[in-house]
Amino acid sequence: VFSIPGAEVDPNVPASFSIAGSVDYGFYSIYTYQLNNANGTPLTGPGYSAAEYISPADTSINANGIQMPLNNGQLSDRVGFVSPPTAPANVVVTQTFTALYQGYFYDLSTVFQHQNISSYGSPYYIVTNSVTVINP
Amino acid sequence: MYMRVWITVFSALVLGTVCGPGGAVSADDPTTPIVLPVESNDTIRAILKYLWPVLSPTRKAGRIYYQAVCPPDAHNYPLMFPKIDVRPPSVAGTELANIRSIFLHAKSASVTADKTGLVRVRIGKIPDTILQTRIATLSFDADSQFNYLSAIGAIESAPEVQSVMATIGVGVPARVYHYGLVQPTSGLPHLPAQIADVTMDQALDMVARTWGGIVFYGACTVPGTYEIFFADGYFLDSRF
Repeated sequence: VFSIPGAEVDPNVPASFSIAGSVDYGFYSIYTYQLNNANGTPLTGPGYSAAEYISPADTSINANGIQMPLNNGQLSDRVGFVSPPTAPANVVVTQTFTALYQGYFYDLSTVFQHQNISSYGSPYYIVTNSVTVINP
Repeated sequence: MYMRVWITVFSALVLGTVCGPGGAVSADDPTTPIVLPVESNDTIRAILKYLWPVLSPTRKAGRIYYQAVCPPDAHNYPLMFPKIDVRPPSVAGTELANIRSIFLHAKSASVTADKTGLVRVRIGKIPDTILQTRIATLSFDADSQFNYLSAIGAIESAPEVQSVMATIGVGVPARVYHYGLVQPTSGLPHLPAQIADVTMDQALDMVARTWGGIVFYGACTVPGTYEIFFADGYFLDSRF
């Protein structure tokens, strides 16, 4: 058994996101994602940012490709409708990420699926917003 | 009589030049051709491409109001921007003159600037009851203080706005977004925690000024629908 010096995986290298929590505000929710290393350990230090990629991109307003600074390794993602919807909708998209750390980009393994549903209700449309893990 | 005509023309020149030969953008006319999404995007892209460089570098803010093209039986996202003839700007004049040159050949387009210099482009006959809704108090949480999309959502969600929408039967397309939020940070653009006694239009002016971009407002009368979106230099680079 031998190892090549320097080939060890840097424990600060980002590898994935996990869902740390969510708050439902009615027509939208805010999900908090936690950045982790390859061992699943949360990365809470400074210097991380991440860009999301929503696919298909043309079904929603998104921030594709914009690197957002993380706060203690966490990203807040607003998921849902811009304002209370007055029309039906059922939008399903996948979300992936590229993290930036010390000048290097890292494609994260995580794939989330978002589903945003607006269905008729009186007096207001009924909204459901969800984020589920497709690939950790 | 001649004096009255001249005053009218002068007023148009000073307060809002009417560009082009006139004629309505008859988006709600059933004979109006349907605008395809790609055509709508092409028009928006052309406007931003020409407009962005000639906006004041220190201000980079404006408003565009347009009479959207909407299928009568759909609440499509996005509302379609009408096909208009926009041209590369003159760069020899003032900011306002240069912007007006973009829309010189566009039917039913007008370009004005208010006393603060904020430029407003109006295309077609725009229903503005919603925009003139007066909001007594509008609170922004940390999310909507620091994120323009959230701010627009907060403005649209104001009880006064929702009430007027319900009263006159106006809706919005079911617009979904997924957006990483800018966290409250000193030095970043943001709105105050609360504003009072403003119209929806004035609140949207604040969004344009605060984040240095263009707030679009498109509306149809049939069906009664409107949408608002924000565009800046990044939008121009990335969206198209």
